[in-house]
Amino acid sequence: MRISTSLASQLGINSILEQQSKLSKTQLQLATGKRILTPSDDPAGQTRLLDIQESLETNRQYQENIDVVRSRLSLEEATLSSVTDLLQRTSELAVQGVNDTQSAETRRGIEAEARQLLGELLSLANKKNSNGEYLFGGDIVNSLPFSGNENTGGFTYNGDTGQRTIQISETRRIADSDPGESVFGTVGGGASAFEVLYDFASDMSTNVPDAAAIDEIHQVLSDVLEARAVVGARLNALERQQEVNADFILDAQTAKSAVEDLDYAEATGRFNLESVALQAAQQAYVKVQGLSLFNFL
Amino acid sequence: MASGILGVATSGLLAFQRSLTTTGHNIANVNTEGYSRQGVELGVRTPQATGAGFIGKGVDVTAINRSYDSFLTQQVRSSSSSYSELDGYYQLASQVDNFIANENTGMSGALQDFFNSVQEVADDPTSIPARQVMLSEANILTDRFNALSSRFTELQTQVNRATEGSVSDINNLATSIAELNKKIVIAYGSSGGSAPNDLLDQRDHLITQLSEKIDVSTVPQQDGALNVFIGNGQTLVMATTAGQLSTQPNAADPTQLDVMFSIGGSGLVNISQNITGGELGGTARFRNEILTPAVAALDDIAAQLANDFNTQHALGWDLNGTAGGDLFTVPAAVPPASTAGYARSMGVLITDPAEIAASGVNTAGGAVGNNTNALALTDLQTANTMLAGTASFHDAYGRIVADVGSKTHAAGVNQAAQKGLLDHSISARDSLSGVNLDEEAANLLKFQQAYQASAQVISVTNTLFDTLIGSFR
Repeated sequence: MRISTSLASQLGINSILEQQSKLSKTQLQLATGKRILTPSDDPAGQTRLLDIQESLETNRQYQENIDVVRSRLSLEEATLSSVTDLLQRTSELAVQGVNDTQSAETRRGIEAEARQLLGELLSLANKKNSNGEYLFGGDIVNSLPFSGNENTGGFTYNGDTGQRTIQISETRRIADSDPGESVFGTVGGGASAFEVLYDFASDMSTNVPDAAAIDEIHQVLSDVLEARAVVGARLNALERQQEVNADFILDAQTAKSAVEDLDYAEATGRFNLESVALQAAQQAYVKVQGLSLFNFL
Repeated sequence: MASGILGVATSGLLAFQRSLTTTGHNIANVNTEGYSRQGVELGVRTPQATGAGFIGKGVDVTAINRSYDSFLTQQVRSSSSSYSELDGYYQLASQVDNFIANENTGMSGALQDFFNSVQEVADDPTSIPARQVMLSEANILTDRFNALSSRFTELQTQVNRATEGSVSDINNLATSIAELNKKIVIAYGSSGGSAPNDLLDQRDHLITQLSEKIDVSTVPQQDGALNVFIGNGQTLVMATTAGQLSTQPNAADPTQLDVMFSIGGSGLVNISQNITGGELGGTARFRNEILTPAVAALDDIAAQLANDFNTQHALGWDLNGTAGGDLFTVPAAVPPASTAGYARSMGVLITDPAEIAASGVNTAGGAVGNNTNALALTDLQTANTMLAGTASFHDAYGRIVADVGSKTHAAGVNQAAQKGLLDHSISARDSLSGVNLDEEAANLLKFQQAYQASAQVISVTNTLFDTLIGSFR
């Protein structure tokens, strides 16, 4: 077959250009460490990559959410732990107070300590978190949840029954707080922790002990312990969910890397092969171009 | 004409001179595109009858032919038309392919960051910094929609420029072909039917160039002219008259250009739907198959997102105790109605972080710690609100990426395959028509030797004449 001289030269140049563009692509892959440079390199892989990236980022956000909830629940737990200690001491006082051996004077001593404890309980129930939000106000986080005074009584609950939940996995939300009424009892009608303690202190001051106070304080204590148990259970659930999320993130990263990452061994091998091919194409071009019958005329 | 031995020798000299000239012409045009190598055809002169028999009278140049095959040339044209179409399509598609999934220009990252910031507000509904972050992420999201949309608009402009450029090239080529038709007809007439090889080559080459712009077919005429057809039968060149293409904005979508055709003062005919092949066909295909659907899909995502977000936001209460206002500019319509242009203009209306309605209950009573509306807003991330309830915003965007990616991939593969076919057809044509310098060098030697031999015959004639004169001295 006849070969046209200009075509032969053009074909030689084309093959050099082609090798160069292959080499340049491999070089870019090696430089970025990525197998997929644009979606057209692997359309299905790229779509998968976007999906994996989305779940990865969403789960990282869930992990952050879990940290937020954990710090709030830990604070609530610590607060309820103080409340428990305080109520246990109050319970001891109540047992002492109803004892017939007490005089009016010793009961006034007990009253003083009881009021002191009630004051502490009130301040614990009105505790704020690091953001300046009240822990036990339900959704009304910016006004004092429990108003009233250990000496004059008049307790009211200013919060509501709202309970904020936070997303900790795609399908799971968890409460980051408990409204004050559910922990300290309904205010009014003598049912709240504050009223129980206030009534006990009043009984002590008037030297009219009421044996029922012991049971009432026990009831308050057990309500608080129940709330603590729920908080503890939530903290455990957070812990487990965080591990599940961490496993998922690890799996997703592995999957992402499998789709996206370059096989360096294969790519460097390919790079070498393409370099050799380019050199060969260049040398062949020079050699072929040197061949001409005119050189011998 | 000189007869006898001198006449024979002179005919050889002239014939080989002509052959050497033609070889020189071939060498001179070794790098001329579209040139077909020429060869001198020699024939024996009619011999002279004598009593002793026929005496040869030498050689004549009977024709100068070009090595040409209309079938091979036609194949080059049709391959180069297909290749130019695929190449134009592929080059434009690659541009979209490059930015659609890029971390810095694509939508995926911005969507994700925005919804994460909504989660942060849900975590901490009273935190002004968290709300501020959500507003900036909302602005980044709308900026990204605007930027991506204007990238598409730039490509639309590029498509229009390319269309105008191709149309102008086609018009110039058509005019040149019509002029060559004229010259060729005259040349055939004045030479008594000899082919004007170089003019024919020029015309063939112009038609090949034309086929790179648009699919063409040709019909040769008796007088040597060639009629050229495009689209579905529009006569671009009729003998010595050239048709004219022009562009005008599409009635339904003025951002797109229609290609119009007219010839010899006829009315404008819209041939946009009939264009196949060549650069013009490639840009049209890119516009119809990739650009227009991607732009529409992006507008749909932006409009649906803004609509759903605003609707849910209005159900909540902000920190000031008022019901939520529109976070994003309100789209004129939501899919499946046309949302054209929304991604370009999308913006954020709220500037005060307190106005984000995170609470699901009335905050007038102070319930600002409530986050149920913020949670409902985060749910929009995974809700299947797009594509008739089958995809989330993220999925819908993923489909644009997959669609562009697979079409670009296919275009790349087809372009490479068509390049192979084109190379093959060019090489087949050039193996017949192309100039090979080694062959010409050999011909040069051959004709030079023959020329020298003929000259030697004249020299011998001269010696004979001297001998004759000498014998009378």
